[in-house]
Amino acid sequence: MKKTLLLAAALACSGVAQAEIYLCIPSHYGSVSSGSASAKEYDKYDDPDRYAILVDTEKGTKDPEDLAAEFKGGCETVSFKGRSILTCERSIDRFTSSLLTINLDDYKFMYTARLLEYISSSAGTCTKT
Amino acid sequence: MKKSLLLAALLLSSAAQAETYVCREEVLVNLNAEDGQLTVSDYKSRNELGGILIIDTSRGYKIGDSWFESECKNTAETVVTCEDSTLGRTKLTVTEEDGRLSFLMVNTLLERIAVLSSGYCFKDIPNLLRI
Repeated sequence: MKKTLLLAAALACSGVAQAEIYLCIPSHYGSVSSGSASAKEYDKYDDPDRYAILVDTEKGTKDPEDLAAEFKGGCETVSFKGRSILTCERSIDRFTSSLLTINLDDYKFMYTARLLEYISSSAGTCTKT
Repeated sequence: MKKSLLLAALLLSSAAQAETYVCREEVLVNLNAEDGQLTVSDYKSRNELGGILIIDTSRGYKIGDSWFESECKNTAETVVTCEDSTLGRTKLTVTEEDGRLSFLMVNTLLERIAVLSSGYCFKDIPNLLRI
């Protein structure tokens, strides 16, 4: 799985010289929907690579579970309380959106995906490729 | 004098458009990747009462004793959407299905902490707002 991710990252890199590429692997996950909730810390048996998020700062993010899909959305770097944060927002349709924030000091990230009646968040660490 | 009356009328009209919602948490997830702490509070299945969230669309939302100023608006998909980025990033939505109002809220902080909650809401309960 990691080879696939690295290949995807390398291919993403090859096209655009100025774009920065990040591969973000979650360590923690939580979700709520109407009346139900769950949370977990990933371990090696969960294969957290499955939920990796690929970021191209020029093109946006890829769906964690569909790396074959196109990058969508847009990214920008903002300064927030003295920290440099890369934020990438993606809107799939009127009901589905996601927000990824990466602290560029330590590459820690938070990814939140929303549907109308469902929210999930995952946190972990990104690698700049 | 006329200007004062006009100003008063404008203030009154904007006040009249403000909506209030009182919401009860049914489930809550705390995700803290910094210390690895994860908690799931499923009040609904335990038949317990979760916390109360008050939304005043002219002002923001209240959790516990604290008001958080937030921009709230009606959208095509939601009854109300409130967003702010004062302490981190918060997004709160109220939607309606079959006459039932429900909310979803996510608050993220410093890329390491996320608080997710959902539950149900009632519109305009002025007595509860005096809490």
